[in-house]
Amino acid sequence: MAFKKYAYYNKGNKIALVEQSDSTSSGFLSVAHCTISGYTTKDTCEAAGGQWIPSSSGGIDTVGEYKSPAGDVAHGLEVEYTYVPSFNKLTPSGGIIGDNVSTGNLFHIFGYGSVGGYLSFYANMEHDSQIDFGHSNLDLEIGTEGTDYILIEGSGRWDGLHKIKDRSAYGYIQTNTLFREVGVASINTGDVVAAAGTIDDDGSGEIAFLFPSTSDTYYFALTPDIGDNNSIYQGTSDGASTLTISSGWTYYTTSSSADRHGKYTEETTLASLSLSDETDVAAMNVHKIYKDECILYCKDHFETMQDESFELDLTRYQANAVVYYLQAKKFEDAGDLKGHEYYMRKFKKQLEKGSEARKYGPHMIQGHWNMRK
Amino acid sequence: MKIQEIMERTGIIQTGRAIAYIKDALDEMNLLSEIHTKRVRLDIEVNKRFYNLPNEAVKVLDIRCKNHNNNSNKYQSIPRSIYEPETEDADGV
Repeated sequence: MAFKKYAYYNKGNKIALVEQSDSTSSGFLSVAHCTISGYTTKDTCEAAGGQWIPSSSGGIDTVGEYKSPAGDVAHGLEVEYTYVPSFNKLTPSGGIIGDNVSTGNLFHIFGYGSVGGYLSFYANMEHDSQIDFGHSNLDLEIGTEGTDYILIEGSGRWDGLHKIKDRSAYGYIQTNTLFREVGVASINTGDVVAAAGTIDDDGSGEIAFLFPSTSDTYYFALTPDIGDNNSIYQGTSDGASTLTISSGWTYYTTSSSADRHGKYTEETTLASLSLSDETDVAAMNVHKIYKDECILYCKDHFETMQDESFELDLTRYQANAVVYYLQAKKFEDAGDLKGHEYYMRKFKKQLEKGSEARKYGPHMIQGHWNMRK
Repeated sequence: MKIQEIMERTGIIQTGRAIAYIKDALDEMNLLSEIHTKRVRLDIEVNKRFYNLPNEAVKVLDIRCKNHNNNSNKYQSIPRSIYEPETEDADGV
């Protein structure tokens, strides 16, 4: 029986995942052969009562070759890591799920993109109804630009705290986290053709710059208020001046809380998207979005490490190690390297002792080394 | 333990300085030991070789793949390749 075999290597700040080409349970491609020795063709093998084993797909020269993954696997890659707990989760008072009609403390995010080189999170409600993050109803929940934070969970890549840079009225919230990528095409005269589901830039080339591939599927949104075309769309590019919408993604069917899907749902017919014709719209922005559904928690859901009242999520023993670390830093700042080394030693010893104290008994090796990997 | 207590025990009176050092200490602790761990699951995409590490990750503890060396949907640790494969990535990234 064939099993998948993966491996990884590090490339900069990314994980490179590779998969071994088709292999059998023994790890090698099967070469056509007969179960009885001495027969080299299928007919003679079967005539002699043997079973003919055909070769697996692929050439013998690619046996065991590692290359990029051969197929899609939802949630197929699991990464376990350590992180710094610079916030504590809290239970908020008031509404839970927010939109621009009712106040709330969390939002379901469709994906992320880059606005002006800064990470931005996009959310959508029903058709033609982007969430107005700048609405005054949300002032208390989301907080102040440049001061308060949002917490992202479930993203994989962007989990953690992000300081708010801008609360847009057009379905996204911009953060102070750098994401160095061009994410918005600003079109001087843009058209939307509802019947065809197309967006074009009148040949100016902005769409080609941001959406160059003709084979990829893109997610995008239009801002500011472009007629009835204020949703998150999925589509393809012609690599020149036109985006063609194939579907739209919404979190609600209507703004009524009873009609929330519970997750983003794809609307696959153009008619259901209720697009409107728009011609030569001045200053139309097309935002490129990377789909990555996650939850955005507002400030009442957590407390950040901002003042002396913050309780560290550490045991008392571990907190004492932090005290040693701070002492070491004090000595380092004063130029006393001997004092610094002394307290760093105490810090490491404290950590080690705290860690060792939770282990009991002899170490057991489970099987031979090859069983784990 | 609250930050206030740590500040009192070390004699640091500037809150911003203390918080910066505490964040450094937490970084160091999570590099040396496994104090706070988390795991995320990412989608594997056909012909996509490079995947971003979580932004908040300090130290990677394990990388597992679904159905690696099994066909019962289990996640198993995958080995690290010492050399890069000769085959170039199809997505050109």
